[in-house]
Amino acid sequence: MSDQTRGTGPQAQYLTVNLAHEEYGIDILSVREIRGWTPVTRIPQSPHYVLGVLNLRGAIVPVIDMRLRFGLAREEYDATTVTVIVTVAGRQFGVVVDAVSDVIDVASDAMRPVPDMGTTVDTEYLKGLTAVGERMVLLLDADKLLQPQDAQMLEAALAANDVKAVA
Amino acid sequence: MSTISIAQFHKVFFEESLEGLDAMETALLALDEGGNAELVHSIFRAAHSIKGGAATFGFPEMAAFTHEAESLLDQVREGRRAVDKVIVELMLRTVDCLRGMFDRAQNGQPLADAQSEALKQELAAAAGHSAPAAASKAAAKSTASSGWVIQFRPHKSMLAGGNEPLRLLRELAALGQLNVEALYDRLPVWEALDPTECHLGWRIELTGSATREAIAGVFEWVEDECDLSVEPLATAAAAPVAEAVAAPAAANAPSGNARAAAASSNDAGSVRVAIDKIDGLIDLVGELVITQAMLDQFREEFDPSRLALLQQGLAQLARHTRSLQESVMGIRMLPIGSVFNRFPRLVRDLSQKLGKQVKLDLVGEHTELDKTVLEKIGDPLVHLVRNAIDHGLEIPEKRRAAGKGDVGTLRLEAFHRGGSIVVEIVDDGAGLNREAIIAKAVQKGLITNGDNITDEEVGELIFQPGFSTAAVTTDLSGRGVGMDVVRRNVVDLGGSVAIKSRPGAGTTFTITLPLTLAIIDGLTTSVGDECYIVPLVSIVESIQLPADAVRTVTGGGELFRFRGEYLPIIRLHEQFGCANARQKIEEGLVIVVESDGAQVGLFIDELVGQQQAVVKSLEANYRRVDGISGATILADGSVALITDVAGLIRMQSRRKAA
Repeated sequence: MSDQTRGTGPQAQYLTVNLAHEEYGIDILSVREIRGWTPVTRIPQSPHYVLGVLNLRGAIVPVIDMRLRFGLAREEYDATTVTVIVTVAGRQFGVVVDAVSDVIDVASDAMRPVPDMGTTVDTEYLKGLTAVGERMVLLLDADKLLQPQDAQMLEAALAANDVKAVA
Repeated sequence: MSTISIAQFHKVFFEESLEGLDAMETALLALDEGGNAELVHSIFRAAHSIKGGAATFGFPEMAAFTHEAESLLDQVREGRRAVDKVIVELMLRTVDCLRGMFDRAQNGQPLADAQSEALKQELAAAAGHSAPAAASKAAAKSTASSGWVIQFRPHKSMLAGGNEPLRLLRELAALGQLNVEALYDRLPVWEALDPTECHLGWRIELTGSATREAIAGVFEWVEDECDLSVEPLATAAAAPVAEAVAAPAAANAPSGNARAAAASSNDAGSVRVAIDKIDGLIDLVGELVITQAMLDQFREEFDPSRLALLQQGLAQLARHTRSLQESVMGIRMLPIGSVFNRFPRLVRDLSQKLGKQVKLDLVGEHTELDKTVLEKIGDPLVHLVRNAIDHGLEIPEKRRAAGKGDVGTLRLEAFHRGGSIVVEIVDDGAGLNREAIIAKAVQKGLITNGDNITDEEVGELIFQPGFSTAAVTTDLSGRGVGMDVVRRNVVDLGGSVAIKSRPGAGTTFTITLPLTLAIIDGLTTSVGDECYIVPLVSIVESIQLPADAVRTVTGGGELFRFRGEYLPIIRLHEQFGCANARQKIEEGLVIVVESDGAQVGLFIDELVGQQQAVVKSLEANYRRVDGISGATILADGSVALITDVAGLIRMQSRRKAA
């Protein structure tokens, strides 16, 4: 069930997911598994888009809501809501999306740069976009989803707090 | 290649030898304080097995070096030489040098360096001076000074010529007392071994009045079929070295690869396990298999009438699983003595350097700790011990002025307390310099003034990162160099550090460590819709408070009276932002928890139950969360977070200060 996009360069496969009526592609090599939505355990003092952690065969894996991550309104989770587990730089995390739809082949020269506006999503999370027939697919940069700078900034802030608040 | 197959034993050899070196060091230090013959024997044995191993595993430089040390030790062992400071010092340096060699061997670098060569000469010289005495025992006193060292390496073809090395040795024996050592570093692999060729060599110490001519006479017939060197005994020590180094360099060229291979497999680490622990495990697994078979029967023919049996089987399964878990954890447990052992040497060297007199007491070396914890606790302990000697204990003059004995005492003690291991570092030195610390803290802007600061808070100050700068070391006669690092290391292990100091009477550091990092006993509590686990070890008591038992203090804190003291209340639902939690104190429960000597009450909704929790890291895929030490998986597969009591208390005091 894979659609071929026109192009001749090296191919990469993307899993496409639906989010607020748009279609996003996640590099299939970073996708571990796709599972139905199951409740997670909330973690205190986390950004609002981090829903919590779930038990993935013994590993504790954080789950983020992609809608909240991109500043969209939260939707009720329903039967098609899925958690896509991805591995980036040795870390696993889950991404909650509205639904998964397809696997597409994208040739490297069929990937277009992202124009600066026109999408609901901050372009910083995008690698590029491509067209599959009439559909436009936004290719996500999975590395940036659970942004390290978030964690770093937080830690730096806490450390500064530590020093000030002595005695 | 045989060198490859031998290389797989290198790691064992390194481990054993390093243990041997530790034993040597310990015995030497004991000897320094006046020891007995048994100590000398144990040192000799350690050196001897290292030498033997080094020769076997293709480290001729190390073998040659150790040989010199062994010769010297042999003289001591046979009572031909008295134990004195000089020898102990020399042997301690030998131990250090050998450690260096092992380091280099593990990294596949050349073993010998200038330092080891120099030390080898020194050892040889030390042994050589008394060598005459050795001779005097074997032969007549008048011929005491004569003796020879003969290095005899037959060519491979020597046997073909009809010359029998054994005959030559017998002939030599007729000339005087022989001490023969076989050199087998040229032995080829088994497959390549040609039994008609001679691969052995010998190093012969001949004591007696034999002349060089007489010796040459013995070897007359084989002169052109062997490499022969004959040196006077006293100066010979260095000679075999050069040969031993040169010869194997050619013969053992492939061993370089082998060493590299050994080095690459070093990281894995290993644990030595007592055989009875393993036997216990095997027994348990046997029991488990039986229980499993029993339960299996129910699957095949289920019959409600046998429900009692099923329950019994499940209970058995639970029991066995628990014992198996404990036994497996036990494998990782090692006595803390292996960490303590490095301190006698450290204390000795440091106190000598600083001109202080220190008596080191080690208590509870047999207390067992998880291997991971053990490996990581070494450096913080070294730091604390060094600090105690450097800053805590005074020089004899000062001690006398303070009315104390010249010799300061430093005590390291390990013991169990509840589910934790406690390590105490106690000195009877000057204690913390309160004024200097406060002055420094004010200068650093950590506090505004030192008027209302308790001693405990002063102790707390030295753990601040600001106190780890070099300037502090010189400005401050107290301690505090890198204490933040010590604390961080201990906290990373799930432990805590507390400090107690009395001016003039000394300082006590108390490190509390978890027995194991992997499993904790915890109390499951519910807070609103959520579930948190509180480690059992930190729980003092759970109480239900009436509404009027809580006092609100200006500034927002809540206090309650517990065993005569007012403790602050931490509302877990506020701290963690839980929804639908009970708000009224009288409707929920207060768990009194303790960490670092500080107690607080945790306000929760209800106790759910007690369970063992396998601790999983949040950091592996996410990051550290304040007040949470990890996560665990509940029986229903969902995740519960484990509270970090020490962290919560810190957060509380931080908030109070803000």
